[in-house]
Amino acid sequence: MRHHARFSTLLASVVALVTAFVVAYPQLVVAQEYELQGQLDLRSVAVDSPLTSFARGGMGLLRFDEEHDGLQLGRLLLDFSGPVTETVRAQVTASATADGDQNPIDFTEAFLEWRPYPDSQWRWRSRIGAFYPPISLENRAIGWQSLYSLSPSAINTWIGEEMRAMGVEVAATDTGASSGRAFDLTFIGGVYGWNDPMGVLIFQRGWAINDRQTTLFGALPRPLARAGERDIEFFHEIDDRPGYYAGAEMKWQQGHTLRYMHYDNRGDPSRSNDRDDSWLTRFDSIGARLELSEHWTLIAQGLYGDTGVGNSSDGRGALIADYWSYFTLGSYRTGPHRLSLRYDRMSVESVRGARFFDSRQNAKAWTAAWMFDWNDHWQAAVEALRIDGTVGERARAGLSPAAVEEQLQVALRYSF
Amino acid sequence: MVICPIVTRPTVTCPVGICRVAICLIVTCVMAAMTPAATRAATLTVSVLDPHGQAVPGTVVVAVPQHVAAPASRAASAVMDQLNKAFVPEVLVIRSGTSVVFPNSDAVSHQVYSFSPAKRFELPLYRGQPNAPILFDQPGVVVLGCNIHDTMTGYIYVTDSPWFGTADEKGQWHVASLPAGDYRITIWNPHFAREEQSVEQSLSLGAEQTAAIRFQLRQTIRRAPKTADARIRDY
Repeated sequence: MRHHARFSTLLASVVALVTAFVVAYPQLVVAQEYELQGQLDLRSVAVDSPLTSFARGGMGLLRFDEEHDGLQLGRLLLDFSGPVTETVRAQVTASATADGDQNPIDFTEAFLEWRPYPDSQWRWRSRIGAFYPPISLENRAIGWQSLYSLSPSAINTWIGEEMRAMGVEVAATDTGASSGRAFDLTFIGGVYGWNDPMGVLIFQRGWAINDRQTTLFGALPRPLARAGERDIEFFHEIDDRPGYYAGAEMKWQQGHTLRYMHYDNRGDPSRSNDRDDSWLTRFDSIGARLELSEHWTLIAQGLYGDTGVGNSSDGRGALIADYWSYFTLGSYRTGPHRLSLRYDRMSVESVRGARFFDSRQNAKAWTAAWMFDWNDHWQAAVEALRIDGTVGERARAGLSPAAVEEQLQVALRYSF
Repeated sequence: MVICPIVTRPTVTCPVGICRVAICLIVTCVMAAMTPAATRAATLTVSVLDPHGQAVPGTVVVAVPQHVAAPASRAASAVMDQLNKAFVPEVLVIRSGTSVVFPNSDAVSHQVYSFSPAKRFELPLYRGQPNAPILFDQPGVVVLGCNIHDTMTGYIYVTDSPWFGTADEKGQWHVASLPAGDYRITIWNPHFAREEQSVEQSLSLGAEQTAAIRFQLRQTIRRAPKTADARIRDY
């Protein structure tokens, strides 16, 4: 809790600093330019699965289980953005899921972004605060929601569940337009803390597919929790070692996008706090989004990495799992309609200490979604999702490792 | 593309009709003197085609006079709008000395800038009508960006020549008032391959000649389709 308190102090300091700035230099503050946006997302859910959802402490990979059949709150989303000065903008996103999380409404992102006026073909952008590193090529809509379906791919589900950078990010873009080149080239790097428990979920439960984003002060039930074990809080600094990520992006004519990122939280797996362990989590991600025509979009992304926990002579952890996943998504948009089909492949393999904990997962999933924009405010969506695969640790809970989980969701979303 | 009308110049005010008659006489004389030149004007049609023979509308075409007297530049104004997080038109061609206003027709604020050598400027965050137009007095390509929306890119092509325009849907540009003489016909399009971004042909026009020239590109146009999904915010 000490570290949690420290992060709260940091957040409070940033808010106090911004407030002090606004009071001291009101003439520099651009008033009346703020945007408050929101979305209420109601779902009708039908699930066919032998497993209890991870959201209720089970080993299921879907957000909902058979107990949830009926009306559910998809998400209540509030998003505030606006200029603090000519070149500094603030963005704060809050979210409520009404599924018993420790705060009824909480933040998913809160950061300041500084974009100095470009004076050469290099465009600079820096962020400070808590935010998603630029890994997903699907989660492009407000609130970091997927543009193409209700539930993002396994890779980006994991990012939403376990990852948030709390620190500083700097991106420099060499713009092509000014030099006659057909593409922009961006280099990006971030240094962050408060994300040491990242890895625990993919290790203990495996990849999942759902749209539940963990909030900054929120938690998720621990899979196969023993008596007295508390929910997982992902956003803590445990080992006092900052992590980093570095990557590059090429963007052709504001269309096709190719993105690579290396991520390393530089966790010390021998450390823990009173609730969670520090995990050493590292991965490489590469993805491409092709805008083939005004109708067709193709996205493919792959991620490969490892995570480890516990004391070991080499510092990599006593228990280590390798994991990888890829997906391909095709999306067709015509008028107010968007149809998307996605195939996900997921794998986790214990490579050290498997006799203590078997992380083995081998699964594939199909997701089909129809999204309909009735007008600027109303959107309807139907999504069918089927995950078919095995997770070794289910046997420990007396369950069959293999399971087929199916979920049908009808969403009605009102945005303002 | 429409070049905006010339800014109204002050009119001479005379107390009586005699003055008006005198002006009419002078104007008539001047026109009479100019008429032979006007009838000697050449007509030119420029076509721009891609490697498959398809028209390339929107391409900038300029007839650059070589030792031909061009009419003096006059104060003019043009408009570069911003709509649906895009510059409209994407490419604006103007004569040097033209002032451009940058209205913002979006509900969100924009922050327009350029660091191109032909014109460096920045418009502070605004919505609606900006404070003052920007004067473009140097020839060259001015690349526009928005400091808030990375995907916004626009171009202002500034030329010293009075004879310019953009190719229509058939990939053609017509001009009917070129004085006889030598010209360089230059075409420019931001979506041409880099090696062909600015291509030119030399041309000699005789009096009353009707000429047509064709530019056939060797490389295909690079144009990624726009994804106009209003829900895109991008992370």
